[in-house]
Amino acid sequence: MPDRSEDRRQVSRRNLFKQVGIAGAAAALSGAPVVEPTLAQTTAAQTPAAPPRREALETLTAAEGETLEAIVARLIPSDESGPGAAEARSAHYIDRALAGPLRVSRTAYADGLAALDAYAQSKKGAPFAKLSASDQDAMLTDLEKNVATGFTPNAAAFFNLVRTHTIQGTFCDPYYGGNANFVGWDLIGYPGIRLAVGADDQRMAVRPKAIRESAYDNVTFTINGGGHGHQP
Amino acid sequence: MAINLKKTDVVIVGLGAVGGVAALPLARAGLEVVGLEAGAWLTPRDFAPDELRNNFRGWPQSAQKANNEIPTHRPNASAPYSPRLPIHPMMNAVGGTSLHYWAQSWRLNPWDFKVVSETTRRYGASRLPKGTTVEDWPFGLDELEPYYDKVEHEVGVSGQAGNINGTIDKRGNIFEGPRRREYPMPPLRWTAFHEKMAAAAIVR
Repeated sequence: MPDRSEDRRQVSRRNLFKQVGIAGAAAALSGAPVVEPTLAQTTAAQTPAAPPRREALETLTAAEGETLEAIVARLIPSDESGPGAAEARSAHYIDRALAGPLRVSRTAYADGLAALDAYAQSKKGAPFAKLSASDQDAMLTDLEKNVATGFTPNAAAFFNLVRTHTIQGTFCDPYYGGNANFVGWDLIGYPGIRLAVGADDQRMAVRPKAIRESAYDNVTFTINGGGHGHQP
Repeated sequence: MAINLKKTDVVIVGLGAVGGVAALPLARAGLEVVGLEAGAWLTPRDFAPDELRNNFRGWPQSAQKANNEIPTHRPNASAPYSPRLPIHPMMNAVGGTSLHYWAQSWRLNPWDFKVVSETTRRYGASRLPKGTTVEDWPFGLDELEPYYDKVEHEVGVSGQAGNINGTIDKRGNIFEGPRRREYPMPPLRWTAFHEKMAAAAIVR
């Protein structure tokens, strides 16, 4: 028989993500109690994530960066399941990507972050980053429900943009500047690249061991593929 | 200005699943073969399992030519253009789409070659949409089987035969057309998922 608690864990994690998008993480956690330690928790307990380092922002202004840090920290919060988007340095990923593959979204971030601070100021009397977690969740919920005003084209579009990029920055290959210390992969129990899968792995009878390696650090994915590549 | 290159026996334009397969027997027969390919020769690094790059940003090594050259499609001249997929599913590279597919090499079933006559026989001609251009193939599976066999053994397809020269083997697909011999490679190990599916699907 499969371990039923495994199913329950997965469901609660899935609910968490679903509800993060609906009503913020506080509501999600009260609605979907985690019944036992997850892999992420176990791993997190063994190797506490290093505190985020200060680094130069490449694209965002300092004020924009602070607001964005505060948003990602609420979208995938740090909680008893382990570190979240802040520790994964998702905002750092977004800042870097806005200079490259995501550059078409640079204006949307400038406009949206400014609009969020203005909306927070008008509703709660302070810029977004200065609000309590529950007030931040209330603001983000307004964005997602598209009832927040002052956004171009609208609040929900900005919410979805940041949500998508926060997920990318939390779960991407660390090469891109997010998923720091593999906290995103640990959170969902993704072990990383496995080139050979044993019978036990394939039967999902055992928990896969976390490999914690970027694809680009794996010798198989160098130009010569660890000596087995074929060059013309 | 035209450049006169050294003459060769065969020039293959496009080194994908078709051109690449043609190159091998031609070269083995002693002919000099030149292949022209728009895409690059990829290395293992180009295949790094990177979900962000490969699935969300459009694997840059995959289909730059197709992405740029295939703009839209539409079923007839008065229909609006349908937006093309943001990422074209084909490859431009030496090896073409054979470099990047689900590695499932199915044969067509005998029925597939006779889709008009078999649909008519079993369900009646009214089941075919009015004005359809669908046709039976001009030949059947038996004519294609030797070539399926050749390619399967060249690329090393794995599986469990269900019908070898008419002898049914229940471990395989009993509905498949006859094949002349076993697959060159044994079937893959089952996963827990396979076992659950099989338990639900197999009629004993």
